[in-house]
Order: sequence, then C-alpha cells, then structure tokens
Amino acid sequence: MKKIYAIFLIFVFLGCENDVTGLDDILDNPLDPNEVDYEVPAFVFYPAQFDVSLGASFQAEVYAMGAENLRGVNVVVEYDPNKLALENVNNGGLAAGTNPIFFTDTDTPGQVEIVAVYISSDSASVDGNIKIAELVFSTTSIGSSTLDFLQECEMLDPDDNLIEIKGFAQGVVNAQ
Amino acid sequence: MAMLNKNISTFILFISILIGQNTKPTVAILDFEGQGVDASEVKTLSERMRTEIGNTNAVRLIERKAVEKIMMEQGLQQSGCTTDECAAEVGQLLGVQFMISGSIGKMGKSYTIDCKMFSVETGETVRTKSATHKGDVSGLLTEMEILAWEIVGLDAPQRLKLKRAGTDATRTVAVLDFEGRGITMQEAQTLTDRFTTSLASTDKVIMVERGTMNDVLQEQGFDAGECTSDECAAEVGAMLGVEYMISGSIGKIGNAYTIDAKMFSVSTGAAESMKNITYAGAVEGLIIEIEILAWDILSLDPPRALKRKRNQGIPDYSAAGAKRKTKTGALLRSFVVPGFGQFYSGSKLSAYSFMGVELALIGLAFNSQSTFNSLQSDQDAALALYDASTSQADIETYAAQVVAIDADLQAANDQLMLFSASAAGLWALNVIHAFITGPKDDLASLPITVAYDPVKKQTRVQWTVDF
Repeated sequence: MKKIYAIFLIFVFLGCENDVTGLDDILDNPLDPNEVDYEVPAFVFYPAQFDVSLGASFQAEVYAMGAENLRGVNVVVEYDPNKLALENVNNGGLAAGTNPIFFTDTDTPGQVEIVAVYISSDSASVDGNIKIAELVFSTTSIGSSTLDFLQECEMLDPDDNLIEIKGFAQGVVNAQ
Repeated sequence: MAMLNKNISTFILFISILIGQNTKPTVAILDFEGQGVDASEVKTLSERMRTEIGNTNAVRLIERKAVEKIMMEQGLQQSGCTTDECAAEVGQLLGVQFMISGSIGKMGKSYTIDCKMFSVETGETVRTKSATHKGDVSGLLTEMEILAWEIVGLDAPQRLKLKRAGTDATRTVAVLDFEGRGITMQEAQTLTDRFTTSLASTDKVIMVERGTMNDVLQEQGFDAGECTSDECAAEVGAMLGVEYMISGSIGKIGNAYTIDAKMFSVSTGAAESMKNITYAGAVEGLIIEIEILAWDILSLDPPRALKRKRNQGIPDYSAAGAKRKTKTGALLRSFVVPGFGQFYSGSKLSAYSFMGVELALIGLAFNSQSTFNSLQSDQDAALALYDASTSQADIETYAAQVVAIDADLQAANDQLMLFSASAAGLWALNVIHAFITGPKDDLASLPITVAYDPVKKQTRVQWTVDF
C-alpha cells in the first residue's frame, strides 16, 4: 500500500510528462524522399539498418527509388565478406514474367552484381520504387559492417540510355 | 331549611350582579372615520375596539347592531355620522351615557388613530387618546385593542404591550433547580443552569435570574433544592411575578438517566407542558439532552446544530486532552491527503474544496494520460504501416497519419503537464493552507523555533514534529 502511495505521489510531483519522440527520429523509412538525405533516383537498401544476432540470416532488399521510365538496371553491391556471407539472391520483381531477365554474379568475394530487365506487354518501363532483388546474408562475425552500392551501378531507359543516378543509400548491419 | 337558604343566597348574588352591572357606564362606539384607509379595514378595526372594550369590564357596551338600527331609523349611515352633534344625537336615542368616536388616518407609511369619549348628556369630552403605528395595517389591530383599555381609563394589559413590542410569544418564566436523584446536587444545578441558558436562547421566554430566585427562596426559608413541590413552586412564582414556573427532576436508574420537567401556570396551577427524556450514556451527554428539553418544553423545534450535536454524541474529552490539535498535525495530514488537515482543523468547507479540486485535477491528468496512451498506440500502428510501406503513395499516407497523431500527442502531453502541475501546486497550497489555518489555540506548536543557545553562543533552529 505504501508503495502504491509512493508511486502515486511520484506521479503527481514528478512523472507528469511523457517523452514524446521527435518525428525526425521515428519517420525513418529509407524509401521516404522527405526523410532521407539523398536525392532520387537512387539505389536503396530496405530496410536501411539490420540488427541481427551472430549466425542469423537476414534479407536486404535492393530498391530503385524514385525511378522514372526505368527499363533495366545493373547493380553492384559491396559487403564485408569477413563479417557477412551471401547465401542467396532472389529476383525482386523488376524482371517479371515466365522468362525473366535476371542475372547475378557473385564470383568476386564481397561483391554481388545484379542485372535485371523489365519486359512487359503492357508498358516499356516502370516508375516509382521498384524492388530489384532480395539479398539473403548471414552474419559470420560480431560487429558492424555496411552494404554499399558501387558507382558502376546503372539505370537504363527503354532506349538503352543511362538514367542519371543521384543517390546511393547505405545499409548498416549490426551483428551481436 | 337548607334549600331555602340556598335560594336566598342565589337571589342575593343575582341582585348584586345586576347592581354591579348597573353601576357601569353605558357606552356606544361609532365606526371610526377612515382617512386614506380602506372602509372595510376601518370597520374591522372599529369592531376590534368593540370586542376589546367588552373585555375591560369597565363599561356596558351597546351592541353594534343596536347602533346601526337607530341610525337606520334616523336615515343615517355610520360612516356619515362623523360630527359630535350627530354622535350625541345617536347617543341620546340609544340612551347611553357616553359615545366613543374617532378617526384612522394614513400619513406615508404611518397610521394614526385618534379616539374620543364624550358625555352624551353634556357633550363634554371625557377622554382623548391617540396612537401612531408604523408598519403593516394589521398592526392597527393591537393598537385598537390597547386604545380600548386606555379610552375607558384603564392601563392596557401586559400581554397587549408585549404584543405591540413584537414579543407576543414572550412569557415570563422561572426555573427551580431540578431535583437530583442518583446524581449530585452540583450536577443537578449545573444541568439546571444549562437548561435555563437554553431556555433563554429560545428568545421566547423572559427568564428570572437564579440570584433573584434564590433571594425569594431564602426569604421563604428554603435552601437550594428544597422547594420541589408544586405548591412551593407556585408560591415562589407568584412572589417573583412570573407567569410560569418550571420544575423537574433528574434521576439515575442503572446506566440510564431520566429527566422530567413540568411547566405550569402560576395563576391557575395548570400544567402547560410536561416533558421527559430517558438517556443512556455518560453524564456529560445529559447536557445536550437538557438543552433539547428546554426547546421541547416550549413546544419549539430545537436548532439543527443541537440535534446534530446529539447525533454526534459527546466528545471524548480525555482523548482531546491527550491528543491536542496542532498546526503541524494539520500540515502533515494535508501533506498525506489534500484537505485532510483542514478536516482535522474543523474547516470542512475548505477540506471539501481542496479535496474536490485536487481530485478533479488528478482525474483530468489521468484522463490526459489515458488519451496520450491511446494516441501513442495509434501512432505506433501508423508507424508500423509506414515502416512496412515501400510504395510512394503508402509512405505518404502513413507518414501523414503519424504526423497528425503526433500533434494530438503533443496536445495531450501539454494538458497532462498542465493538470498535473496544477494538482501538485494545489497540493502544496493545501499544505500551506492547512498550516496557516490550523488550530489557532496552539501557537506553541509551530514546527520551527529559533532560539539563542547561551552555552554554545549561537542561534539554533529547531524543527519539531508533533502529531
């Protein structure tokens, strides 16, 4: 009873305010152009941060964000092979259909290259946020590492012209 | 022979009554003249004088109907016969010795009555009387009653004078010490004193002081408490010149007490009121009972405070002595529960006010917290959808929701701060108030005392906590 009373008093005299987290801290979707510090079109990891335990697998989705008139991409992702092991690369959806044009190259340690082309009878290209691939990693060592897009990455329109890429987001992996 | 003697006695008595009646002067009263007063009211007032003059037994009054009959025969109306000549003429026709006439006027908010009795035979004015009354017209009824006595040369009775003074219900009363049976004489006297005080507080009786009564009792050769019979009480009452005497007894049977009291008329000896009370409890409780009895015996409703006192019972004096109320006690109680210290000090209104407002503020604070929690849940849900969204449209939709809820959250949080800060402020205020308005009879209970210590040669501050 005394404890309850003490809690009540503390509430009245001290605990009269709630912690309200700022919007900047809670609105952190890497695909939200209003909250990120890079311009579009950009290559983005979704989510932007991965908190995983040692040995556990996680899936990093690769997005072409804010793209317009996109037909195909060539994405090169770099990671720390001492801390992460690439387990699988899945088609994200840009390359759709029964015979999708979706290639990956994982021969170089610490790098994965993805080529995906959009083929559809409805339209020649796509706009907006498009998931290109799903990278499945597992952590092999404790610590932080990053996932980075290399400058060789490309976005192409239906006429095979390069689309200027204005931003490259970074993914952060915290293995505990 | 005895029968004959009785008849003779009756005859003599009848003759003497007739003679007695014949010696009284005969009087007729004309309806008063009204000036600024309603005619029907004037008639009623004139009629009141006729009735009251009959009560004086000083004159033989000619009935109103006889006056009206004569006037009708003369072709006059009472209201029209205002001159002395007319009145004298009517008086002669009625065969009365004296006529009474007068007028009732109104000046502003005051009424005036002028009244005259004059000899029909000589026309000489025998007596004139006048009265002024300020107030309602109904007050003239008493004035007319008093004038009825005064115009025939008599002093108005005390009851009428008291009535005029607005104390018509006032009676003169003397109280004899209650007889104690099973309680000490001092206790009986103390209770009688309290009974007398309570009687006086009704404002319906005029009390004779104990000292005056004791003087009369001593003159009669009685010691205190010896005059207990009705005869003795009536005799003392007559000597004191009071209308009523009250006597009684207080008895103890086992743990119960009985109080019997009787009020009787000194002039007739008839019991006006008899009351009794049975009470079980501490002897101190008799004080409240006897106070209530004082009201009961006058057929008055006791004051609410007295009834409440009876319901609450007698205070525990020993406990009160052991636990003296202090300002610090009030302060600490109010610190624990707002208003509790004020209750302790007896300021119920303040206590309820502090409690009520404090509860209201705490309730509002809780309500704000509840609203905040609810909004927080809504925001978490919207945030989860926002985080899970990958399409631009969904991101914008859920981001807008999060922003909107955030504004409400801020508002709820501000309200929470306001109400809880107010509650805390009021709590502190209530503590200060409890201390300041705490029991005033204990200034020594100030929790902080400052004194110079001559040994250590320094001023010392001492904090005392006293529950």
